[in-house]
Amino acid sequence: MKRILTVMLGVMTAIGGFVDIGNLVTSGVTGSRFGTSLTWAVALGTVAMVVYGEMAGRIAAVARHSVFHIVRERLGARLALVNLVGSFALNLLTVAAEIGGVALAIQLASGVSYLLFVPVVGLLAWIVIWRAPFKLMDNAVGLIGLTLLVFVSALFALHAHWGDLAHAAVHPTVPPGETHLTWWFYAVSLYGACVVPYQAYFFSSGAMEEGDDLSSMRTSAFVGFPLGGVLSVAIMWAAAVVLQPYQISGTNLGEVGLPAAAAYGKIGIALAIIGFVAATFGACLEAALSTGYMIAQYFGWPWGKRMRPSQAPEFHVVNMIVLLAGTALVLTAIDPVQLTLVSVVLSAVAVPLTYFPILVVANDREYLGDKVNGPVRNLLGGLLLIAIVAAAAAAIPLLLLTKAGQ
Amino acid sequence: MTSDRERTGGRAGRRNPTWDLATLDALRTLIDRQIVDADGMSLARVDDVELELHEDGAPTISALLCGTLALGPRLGGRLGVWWSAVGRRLRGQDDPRPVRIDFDHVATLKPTELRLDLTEPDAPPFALRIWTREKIVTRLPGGTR
Amino acid sequence: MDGGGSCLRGKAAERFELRVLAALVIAVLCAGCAGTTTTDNDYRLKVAHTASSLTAVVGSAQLAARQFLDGRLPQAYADYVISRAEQDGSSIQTAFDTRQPPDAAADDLRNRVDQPLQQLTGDLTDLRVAVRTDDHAAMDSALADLAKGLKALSTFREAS
Repeated sequence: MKRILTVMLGVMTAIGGFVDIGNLVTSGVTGSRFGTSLTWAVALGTVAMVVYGEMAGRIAAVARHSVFHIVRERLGARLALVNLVGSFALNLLTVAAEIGGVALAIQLASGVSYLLFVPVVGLLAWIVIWRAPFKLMDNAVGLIGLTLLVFVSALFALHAHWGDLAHAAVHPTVPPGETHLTWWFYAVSLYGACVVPYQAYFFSSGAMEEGDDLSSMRTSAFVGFPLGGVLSVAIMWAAAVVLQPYQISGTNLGEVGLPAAAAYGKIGIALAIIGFVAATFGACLEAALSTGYMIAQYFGWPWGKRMRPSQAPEFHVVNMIVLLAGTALVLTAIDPVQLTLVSVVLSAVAVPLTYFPILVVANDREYLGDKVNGPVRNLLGGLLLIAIVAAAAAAIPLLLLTKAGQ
Repeated sequence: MTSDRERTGGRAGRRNPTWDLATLDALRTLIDRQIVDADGMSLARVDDVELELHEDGAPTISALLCGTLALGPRLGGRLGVWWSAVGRRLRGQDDPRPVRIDFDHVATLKPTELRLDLTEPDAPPFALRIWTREKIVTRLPGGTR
Repeated sequence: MDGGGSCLRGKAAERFELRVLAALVIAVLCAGCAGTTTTDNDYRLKVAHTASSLTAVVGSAQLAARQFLDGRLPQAYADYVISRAEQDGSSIQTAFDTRQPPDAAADDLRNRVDQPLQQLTGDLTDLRVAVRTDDHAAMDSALADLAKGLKALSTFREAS
C-alpha cells in the first residue's frame, strides 16, 4: 500500500497537469473531430514529461534544488524574470480556468449555475493550500482522480473497434472536412498540455516537500505521467467512438462525459464528474502552488507547505493573491475552456526557458555527482527539446491562423 | 589602507579595467545564488554584492546584498524602479539601504550551496518577510503556528 | 552572465518582448472578430462552415437528449448540454446573419439556407424546454424535427 502511495505525487502532478479542464475538453474535441489521429501528440508529450519530469525530480532529490531555483541561477535575474512574468500570467489564467472547471463540473451534477460555486471553490482551494498536509493533498487528488479510468473501461464496454482505432492512431491522417492547419494546431495544443511549465515546478518542488528519494521520485514519474497520458488518450478515443458519429465538435465539458453515459449510464456520469472535479481541483491547486514555488524560489524566499506559515509568509501570500485574482477573473464569466486553450498554446513559448536549464543542470556533476544524464537520456532530452522549441515557434502562428482551432 | 565601499553589480568590470578575471569570476558565481542559514533554511538570494576597493585596485567582497533594494537597481528599467520603491516603502527610512550580510558570515561556499553561520533569528531582518508575516499571515486562522 | 554589456541588451530585449506580447494579445483578440465577406466564394465557404458548426451543435443536443430518454443521463446534465447547444446554435445564427452577402447569387443562397437555420435553432429551444419540463413526448417530437432539419441543412455543407 505504501508503495502505491509513493507514486501519488506523479499521479497528482499528471492528473492536475495533463488532465486539467483544457486538456479534458481538447481530448474530447480532438477525438470527436479528428478521431484517433492525434494520439501521437499525447504520446510524444507524455514521453517529454517523463524524461524532463524525471530530470527535474532527480535534481530535486539529489541536489535538493527545485526548477525555478535553477532557472534563476542559470539564466540570471533578468532572463529568469521574463520567464517568471510569463509563467505567472499563464498560471493565473490556468488557476482561473480550473476554478471555473470545478464549478462547471458541479453544475453538471447539480444544475445550479457554475458562477455561484466559483467563490466556494476558490476558498476551498486556499484552505487546502493553507492547512492540508502535502501528502494528504497528493494522495486525495491522485486516488480520486483515478475515477477517470471509467473512460478506459468505457471503451471496452462500448465494444470499440480497437483495430480501426489503433490503425488510425498509428497512421495519422487529417479527416475530410478538416484542414491541416487546424490539425497541427490541436497537435501543438495536446503536446503543450503535456509539458506546461507549472507541472515541472510542482513536481520538483513537491518532491522536495515530501522529501522523496531518487527511487520513489522515479517511480512517481514513470507511473504518474504515463497514467496521465493514458487517461488523456482514453478520453480522446471514447470521444472518437461516441461523439464522432454525431459530428460533435466537443467544445464544452458536458460533451466530454457523454461517452461515459453511453457505456454505463448514470453511474458512468457520476464517476466521470467525480473525475472531472478531482482533475480540475488538482490542477487549480497545482497551478496556484507552483506560482508560490516559482516566485519564492526566484527571490530566494523560504517556501513550502512543510514549513509553518509564519516561516514562509511571502510564499503563502503569493498563493493567496493568485487564488483571489483567479477567482475574480473567472467571475467575469469569461469562458474557462477558451482561457486554457489559449494559455496552453502561449505557454509553449515559456516552455523552452523552463526545460533548457533543466537539461543543462541534469548534466552538471557539481549538482548531481555521478547521477548525471547518460548519453541516451541526453539524446532523448535534446530531441524532445527540439520538438518543444518547434512547438513553441509554431504555437502562436497556428493560434492566429486557425482562430483558436475553429 | 584606505578602503572604498562600493555598490557594484555586473557593471564592475566596465568601470575599473584593472580588476582581473578571477574577481569577475567570483562575482559571477556569487550573484543570484541562494543563501541558506546555518540550519539550511532559505533566507534570500545574492541580489547584489558589495565590494571593498583597496589602494592597489584589487577588490575584495565585503558583503552580500539582498532584497528589494538590492535587486531593484540591478533589474533596471521601470520594473526595477518600482520594485525599489516597494522596498523603500517597507523599510520606511529616509535613506533605505539593502539588507547587508557581511561576507565573514559565509560559512560554506560550495558550487551548490552558500551557507551562513547565522540562524534566521540572528540574520538581518527582511522587510517584506516581516510585513507579510505580521500584516497578513498571523492575522489568519492558524497563521501563528 | 550578468556583465555590464548585457544590461542594455537585456532592457531593450525586454521592451521588444513586451511589445511583441502586446501585439500578439491584440491580434488574438481580433482574430475572433467578424470581418466582411468580399467574394462569392468566401460567402459559400462561410455558409458551409456555418452548416457544419450547426450540425455539430445539433448532434450534441441529439446525443444528450437520446441518452436522457434512455435513462442514461441525469436531467441536470442533459439540461446543461442541450442549453449549451441552444446558446451555441443561436450564436452561430447571429454570426451568420451579420455577414452581408456580396451579390445577388449569394443573397439567394442566404435565403435558401436561412430556413433550415431558423428551424433548427427553434427546435433546439423546443428541446431545451422539453428537457427542463421532463416532457418525453415533446422531446421525441423535437428530435424528429431536428433530424429533418439536419437533412435539409446537409445540402449546404459542401461549398459547391
